[in-house]
Amino acid sequence: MEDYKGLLFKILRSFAQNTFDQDDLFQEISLQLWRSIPQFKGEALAKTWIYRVALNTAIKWKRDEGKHRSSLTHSEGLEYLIQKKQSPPNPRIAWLYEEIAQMNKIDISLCLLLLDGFNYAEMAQLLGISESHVGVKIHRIKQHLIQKSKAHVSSGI
Amino acid sequence: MSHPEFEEIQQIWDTQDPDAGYEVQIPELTQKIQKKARFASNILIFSELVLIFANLLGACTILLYSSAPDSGYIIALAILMFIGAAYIVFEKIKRIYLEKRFPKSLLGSLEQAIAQMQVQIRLTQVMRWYILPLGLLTILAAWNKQTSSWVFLCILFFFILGWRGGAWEKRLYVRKKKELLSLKAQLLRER
Repeated sequence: MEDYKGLLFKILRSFAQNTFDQDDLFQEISLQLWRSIPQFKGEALAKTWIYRVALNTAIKWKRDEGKHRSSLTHSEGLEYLIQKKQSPPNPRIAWLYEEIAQMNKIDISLCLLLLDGFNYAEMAQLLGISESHVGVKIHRIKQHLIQKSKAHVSSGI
Repeated sequence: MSHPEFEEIQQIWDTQDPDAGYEVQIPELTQKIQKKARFASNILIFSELVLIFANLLGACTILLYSSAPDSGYIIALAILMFIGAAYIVFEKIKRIYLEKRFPKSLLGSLEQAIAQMQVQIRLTQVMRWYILPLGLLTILAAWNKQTSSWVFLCILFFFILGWRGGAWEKRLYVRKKKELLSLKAQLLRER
């Protein structure tokens, strides 16, 4: 968990936008990873395996409306499994995550894989679709982000 | 196809240090995960075993302790409950088999989840229709024994409750299956 928490946090920020939802999704992903360990036979890199399980969980995850507690704060004694550290805000990163979060879940998955350096073959294998299909989707995602970046002057791009 | 503008976006992404944003409470996480995992796998196994056991116990009780064990309705009811138990065992084996059948990819996982939802929908439908002959035979067996009207009403009430509960459960699984199909369509869509 310690070695790959950075990867998981990127997925959390992309699929869930408030602390409670991120905590809820983090628990679901951790649970699925724990249950999938016996099936991991080392035929893929650990990073690929973690990405597959985490994305699988994230695209099927739904925000639990009944347990929404975003109005509660830490000072009210609510225990979160992930705690946000105080760090200087990065508006460009924040903008990028906002744009990613507005995509549909499949495009979010592809975008994360693209930005994290997976090649088309790896993405195709992870997703179960052809490389040409990956190429078409990636091209569309890139065009979309470039258009958005041109429209968003304050992002500094 | 290279996009110079996209390289700038990639640079923004690469400059982030995601570890700096969050800390994980590892001991609490471990505890929660172990507890959730035990509960999730136990609840599914438990509910299947309860259904199988309830049908078998019900059938045996009816045959052994009924005051009219040779009544046609009693025998038919017992046979139906044995068949019900056998069907649930069959669906359980099918569900376990499905878990191993699909490739390990996002698409494979979606297809597995869709197939499992279909199994759940079919099981709910069959169990719902199963309530009809079960209810009818129970009422006929009770009528044969000249049971009071209150008992009839209670029997009717519980079977109606079971019927409505089955409808609600089926709607839930159908909704989940639709969501999964939509995700699969998004994944396979070219544009």
